[in-house]
Amino acid sequence: MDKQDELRKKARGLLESKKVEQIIGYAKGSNSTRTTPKFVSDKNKTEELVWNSFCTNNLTSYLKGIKNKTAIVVKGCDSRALVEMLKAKQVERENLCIIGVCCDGIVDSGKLFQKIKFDPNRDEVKEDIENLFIHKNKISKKDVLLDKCLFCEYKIPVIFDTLIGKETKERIKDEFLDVKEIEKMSAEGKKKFWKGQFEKCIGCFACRNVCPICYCEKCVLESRDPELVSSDENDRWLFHLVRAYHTTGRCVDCGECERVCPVRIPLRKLYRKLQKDVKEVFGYSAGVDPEEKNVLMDFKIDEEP
Amino acid sequence: MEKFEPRIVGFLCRWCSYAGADNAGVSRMEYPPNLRVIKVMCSSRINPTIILKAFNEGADGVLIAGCHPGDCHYVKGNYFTRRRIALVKKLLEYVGIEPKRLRIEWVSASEGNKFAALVKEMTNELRELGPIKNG
Repeated sequence: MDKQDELRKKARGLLESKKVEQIIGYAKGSNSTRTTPKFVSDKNKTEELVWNSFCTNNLTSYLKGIKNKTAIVVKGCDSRALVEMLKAKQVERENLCIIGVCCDGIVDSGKLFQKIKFDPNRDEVKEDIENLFIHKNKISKKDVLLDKCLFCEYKIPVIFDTLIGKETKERIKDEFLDVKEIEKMSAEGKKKFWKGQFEKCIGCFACRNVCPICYCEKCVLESRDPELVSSDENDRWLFHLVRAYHTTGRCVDCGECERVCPVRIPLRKLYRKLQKDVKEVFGYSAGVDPEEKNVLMDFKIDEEP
Repeated sequence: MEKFEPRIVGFLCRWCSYAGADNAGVSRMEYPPNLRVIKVMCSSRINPTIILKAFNEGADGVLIAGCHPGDCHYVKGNYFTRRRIALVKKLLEYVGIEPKRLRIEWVSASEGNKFAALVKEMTNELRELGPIKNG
């Protein structure tokens, strides 16, 4: 039984037994390389749920403000975001049923289009564990994975009630190569690089809105009294650095910000810098242990950070 | 060309460092007038947003001074500051702002001479670094 069938069966079981009122999962998207978030509350509609290599979205963002019993489908990275939400008491554990899916990595459709020409509106994409099949071509998933999936230490969700798929022990250590690349630049080079990136920003707030750990009712970036970060173009630098700093010790590198950015600012490169520092200096990784204190809310008396 | 004079924003904690600065003044010690002092109740009161905003508005340097670790009026405020600022420094370096521009120091109420020397040293360092050319 493949993961999708297993998922559908579990979902149906949960709704039939009335353990949950709704399930947040993925459904078929507008074309063969897309999936769309789906809320299912009818037990006869669980067949609409899908699981494939294009289940990109981090669904935990939809849990903000949800009060009824909900089951949610999470990948490894999403589950870490969920841990951070639980830590911050944004969701109640009793209301949740976490359906963890062992993830083999998500495919970047952009990379796929570069590799092979096809019409996603007409051509079907089939897959097995390691390969994608389009027409009669076989493409190894490893070549078209999302950047964040290339170095994934959490293929199995860190928190779940039921697990779908086989547990693997495989962990690819994240060496933060992309961050180190920028660190090597000169001060002027760094300034120029980030200036070029932040200049593109149109201030749409998509990165903030999609972020599972951005749940403040009053966001400092939107505050107009006091106006700390204005909507002025001169404040784009400030906007991104403030947002970056706010993710310290909470960002789990789910990559949603970068995915939704309409002007393709490499936001992960910015947020991952803080993940790297927090890991190197304080030995802390976000979203691993629900009982652990956040790195900035904790201290040791005789440390010299 | 006119000599470059850096503008430094100083956030001083009300209990130790502000009193330390006062002590420097009362003892008639001289230090450069480049520092603009803002009194805060505790060094942990300083949200990194404010530090970043200072740099964005054109400050050439930011000085944060608080009680020595262990001496915080609010018992543990400065321990949090210590972690926070260490990370802000690294973030600033990552976007091309020299870490020397952000300084965190512990100055007690009796260390007027330390405070004067500190401002002198920082001003000289920033004079060498030159003005901040921000994105």
